[in-house]
Amino acid sequence: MISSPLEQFELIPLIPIRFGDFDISITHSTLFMLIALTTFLLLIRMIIMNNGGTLVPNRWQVIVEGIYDLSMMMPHETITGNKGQKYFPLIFSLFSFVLTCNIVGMVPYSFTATSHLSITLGLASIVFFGYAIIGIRKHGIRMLELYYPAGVSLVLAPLIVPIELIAQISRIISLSVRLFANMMAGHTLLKVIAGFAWQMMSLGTALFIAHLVTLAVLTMLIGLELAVAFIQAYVFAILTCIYLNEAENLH
Amino acid sequence: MPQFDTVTFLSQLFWLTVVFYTFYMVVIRNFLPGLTRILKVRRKKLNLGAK
Repeated sequence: MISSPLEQFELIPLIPIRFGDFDISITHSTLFMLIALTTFLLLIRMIIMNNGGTLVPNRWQVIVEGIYDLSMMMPHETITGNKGQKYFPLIFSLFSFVLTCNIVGMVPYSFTATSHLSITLGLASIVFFGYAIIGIRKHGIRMLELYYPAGVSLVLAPLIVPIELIAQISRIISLSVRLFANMMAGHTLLKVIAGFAWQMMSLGTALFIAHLVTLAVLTMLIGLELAVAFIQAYVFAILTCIYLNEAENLH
Repeated sequence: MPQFDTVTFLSQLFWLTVVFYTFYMVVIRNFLPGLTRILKVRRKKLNLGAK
């Protein structure tokens, strides 16, 4: 039986919850989000159990400290003027949330929460509205300089204001759609190749040998997808840092 | 595509908010201080060794 490669993204309500017309059922994506985060928190818990880990880190501790260092360096280097420190917890949680959800999605028969537009749009709007609120609280009306930079002549205003406006609005789209499209495309590709290998395998001896090549390609693609899972989480975090830098320093 | 089925958006966003907020709070209160402490101790120890 061949099913559509998009079937894996279907949301199945596990615990139906309804309040009148509002449907807030617990679905697959909630379950795997919880599994990913609980695993990650248990990993940290295991490490800091005896007074914050060992002085010489073991292998698991190296992973967690790598994530910690990475999300410490990103805001520190991107946000100029030594203002990056206070955004470290946000970057750490965003980065580890996206990373763990992506990685858990690579396990066969599991579900990638970040392959849904609603989830990535939610994460992107945390960043986007947070960025706007921080900027307005810090600079007030001068936040509008993002749309019309100081020192630009008035002749250029009709040209530059729409461009900057589109650039601002496209940020929320670029953050969310990039992550969602990458995860969805990767998982669909894996499913298509796996279905192809399965069909070749069931057709006969000559093709049975040939299907090993397809399996090898599939294995390589899984490696690629693991890299994409990490890179997308990194890109999400670094873009958040860049936007926060604009809110702090106005260009 | 199941992703553009707007019926599921409310439940997805609701549980994302709940899960992410809880995760953020738990990480800030219980996990980051423990991780920071060991890194500080290590840095101090390394500095002492360098002197």
